[in-house]
Amino acid sequence: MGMKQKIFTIRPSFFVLTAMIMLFLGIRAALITIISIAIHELGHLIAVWLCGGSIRKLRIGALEAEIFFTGSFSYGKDILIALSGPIASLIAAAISGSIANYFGFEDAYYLAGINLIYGLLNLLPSSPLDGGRVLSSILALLFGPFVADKIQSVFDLICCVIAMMAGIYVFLETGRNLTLLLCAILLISNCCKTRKSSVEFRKQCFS
Amino acid sequence: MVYEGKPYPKRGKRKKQARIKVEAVKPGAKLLVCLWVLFLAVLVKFVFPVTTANIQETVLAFLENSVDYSSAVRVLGEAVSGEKDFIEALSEAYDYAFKLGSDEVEVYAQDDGLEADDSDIPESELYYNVPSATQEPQIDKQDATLTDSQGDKEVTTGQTEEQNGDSPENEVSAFIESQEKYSELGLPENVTYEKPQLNIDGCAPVAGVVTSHFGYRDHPVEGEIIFHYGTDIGADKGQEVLAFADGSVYAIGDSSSYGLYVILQHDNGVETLYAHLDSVEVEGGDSVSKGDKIGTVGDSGNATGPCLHFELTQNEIYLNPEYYVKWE
Repeated sequence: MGMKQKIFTIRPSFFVLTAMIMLFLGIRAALITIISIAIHELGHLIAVWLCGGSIRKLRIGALEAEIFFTGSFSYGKDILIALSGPIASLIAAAISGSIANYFGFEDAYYLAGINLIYGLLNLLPSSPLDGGRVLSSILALLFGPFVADKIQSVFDLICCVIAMMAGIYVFLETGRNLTLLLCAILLISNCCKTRKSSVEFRKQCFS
Repeated sequence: MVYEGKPYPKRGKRKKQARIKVEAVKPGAKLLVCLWVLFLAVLVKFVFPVTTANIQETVLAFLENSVDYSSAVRVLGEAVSGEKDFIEALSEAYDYAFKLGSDEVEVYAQDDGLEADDSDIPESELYYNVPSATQEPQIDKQDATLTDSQGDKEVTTGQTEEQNGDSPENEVSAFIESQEKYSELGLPENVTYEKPQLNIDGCAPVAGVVTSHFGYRDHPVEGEIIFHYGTDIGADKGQEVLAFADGSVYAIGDSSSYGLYVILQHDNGVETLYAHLDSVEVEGGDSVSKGDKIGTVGDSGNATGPCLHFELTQNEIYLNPEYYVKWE
């Protein structure tokens, strides 16, 4: 391909999400959301850098960001890198919380809340999320990659089913709230995407 | 060699196909389009603020009936900052995010810009900031049963607990009990259910029957819960409204919710507000004595019928007027 390798791209879905948040929740909310996503990714980046990898490419999507880096990492380092995102989010939440407590800034409350949500959300043991990556690495350490993959797929299924049930429940209870349902569908589709690529990757590595 | 999916071209034979060029979408195009959409959205938002505001309102009204994510997030933030118990915050956030209940708590008196301090009283026709009180303080700890100037009603002030047999704690706990079902909502800022001593000689501002008590109440419209910052006393239109106690006229104003109103300043940081008036008989800065006529009952503002909306504050904290004035 004669194309230059882009170092930093932003997927279109990111702008769509930003526009929606801006329209419905205000510019302030959009800004706070962007900041919290940035903090999360910064956590990952710092961990990658600390582990000696060199970052080649950064692609920011709607609810996720992909970091392409060179350097192969042991499972331990993988766990560290995957965890560092949520940890950064939670630390940011704690800091914002203290600021809110002492100074009472309205924005600090929102920042604390969003960072908490984003951090905890990413810790869910589902493949596309950081939590899933941590789980995969731990399982691989214990059982080797193939068994780990199988166990991980079970977790994926459980998470997707629970998310779907929660989404349907909320929709039926409120009669119109679709957000959780949409999130569940998003999770399912991302799960499938990630699983497909991970299975192929592993096949390539070991065939 | 891995050949991705396409069939090998058949040698020799060249199928004559209409050349349908499926051009790969240029990698930057999608991004560019989305950038343009975002740009247009921002543009529209700023150039047509009213239209966007309307659209936003309609959409928000639809969404708002089932979601309030900002509050959910904020409440979780409060949990993080340690100001709220986590479980409590979780359930609150859940309610906000999915509004499974349909009760909305609305703050009543504060949002029309009316505040009993000297910073601002919007939409007011007359505004006086009285620099100093001119009357002597009357500290009358024991108060006899009073008759107001209507002549036929007896009222007692909060100083005469012995006479009507209620100790302050009983009154307070009785009132708190009556507000039991709203106890989870907490109290708005600047409100207390306590009954501090006012040390003021006071009287009933109007003769009538309480139509709406102080505190939380179920608003008839759509089952909302609202907080009532004062007491509504139903009376006839044109009936005299009297000054609760000695003091001076701090402000006279007109607002869409309070209608025509008067604020009196008394001793010991006490202020009283009389709203929905039909007419005002005093002017800003006047000294008044307890029982002086200051206006007449009306239905101005958002009153549903002729009544007096009576508020009592001490040091800008709203108190329950019914502790200090008894109506039947």
